[in-house]
Amino acid sequence: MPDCSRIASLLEKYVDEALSQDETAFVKGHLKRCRRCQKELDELLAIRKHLQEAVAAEVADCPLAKIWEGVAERLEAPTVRERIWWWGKALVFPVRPLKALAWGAALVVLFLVTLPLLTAPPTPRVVVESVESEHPVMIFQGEGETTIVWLFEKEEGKEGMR
Amino acid sequence: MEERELIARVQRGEKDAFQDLMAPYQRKIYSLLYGMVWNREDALELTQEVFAKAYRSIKGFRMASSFYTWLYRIAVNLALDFRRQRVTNPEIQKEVDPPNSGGGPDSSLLRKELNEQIRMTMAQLPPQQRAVLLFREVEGLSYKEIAKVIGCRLGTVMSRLHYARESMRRALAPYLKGED
Repeated sequence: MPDCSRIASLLEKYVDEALSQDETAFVKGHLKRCRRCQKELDELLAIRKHLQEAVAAEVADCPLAKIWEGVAERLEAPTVRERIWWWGKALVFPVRPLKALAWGAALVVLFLVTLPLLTAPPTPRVVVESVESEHPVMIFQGEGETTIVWLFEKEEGKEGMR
Repeated sequence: MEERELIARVQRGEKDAFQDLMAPYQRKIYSLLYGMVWNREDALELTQEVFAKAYRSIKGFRMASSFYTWLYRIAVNLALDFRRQRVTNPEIQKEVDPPNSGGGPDSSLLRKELNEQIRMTMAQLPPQQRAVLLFREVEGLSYKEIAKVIGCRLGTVMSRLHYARESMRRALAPYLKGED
């Protein structure tokens, strides 16, 4: 039936009571005559029924008392924002003198331990001051802390170096 | 006591009024969240989170929408966040519950199998489709109400509902044939 294609697009809205009065009447009239569309409607309603039953079977045992115990615990526990605020306050403005003393002592010890590392003298560099050689020598600083020493041999009978 | 009055009392800091305010919604919220996660422990935990969050943020509720729309929005967002966490942290994936069933041995087995199929199909649906299907089929919200809760257009609601129903129809086809 040519109406079936139109009904297919309206059936879900019909099930959800979202059609106009005219559209509802049109669908109802068609369903009386068309077994195929009626079957589609039955399937949609069956899906709804089975889903409701599946959820209801589980929710029947809903532990309502446990819900409120958990809610009370959560409301007593600080939120993330509250925790951040508390830690910030505790670090910047310690509440008790003993706590402040403990933090102060810890900071002093940390400072004393790291101070030698921060002020350690630099590793002495090796410096070539003189080279004793029969051959001409060239010394220059390479990359990093490398010192390069070049020794040149004189070829007999030739001027210059190789 | 009227809901508005209860809301006003809770906003003034009267904790006792909160339980009265939430009483009509506790089973509905649990039902919705169970349908989203299909695990009793997780549904219970999420319900507690929803109620705690509702209490903490109720001072910001300005009656621009209905209270249940506001509450359902909190529930859906927490459920969707929960699902996202599960996707990124597979090591905390829990087993979903075996389905409950009622009736005699034969109907019990068939019911159990059907519930299992529903559970598996729902678990495979994209979370947004699952939420829309639950709101429509289980909670009975209209398209307009669903659009307000989820924060999308009417057309999007209808489209997600259509695809969700198609998935359910395909998965439950063998069981639906037997009902002819």
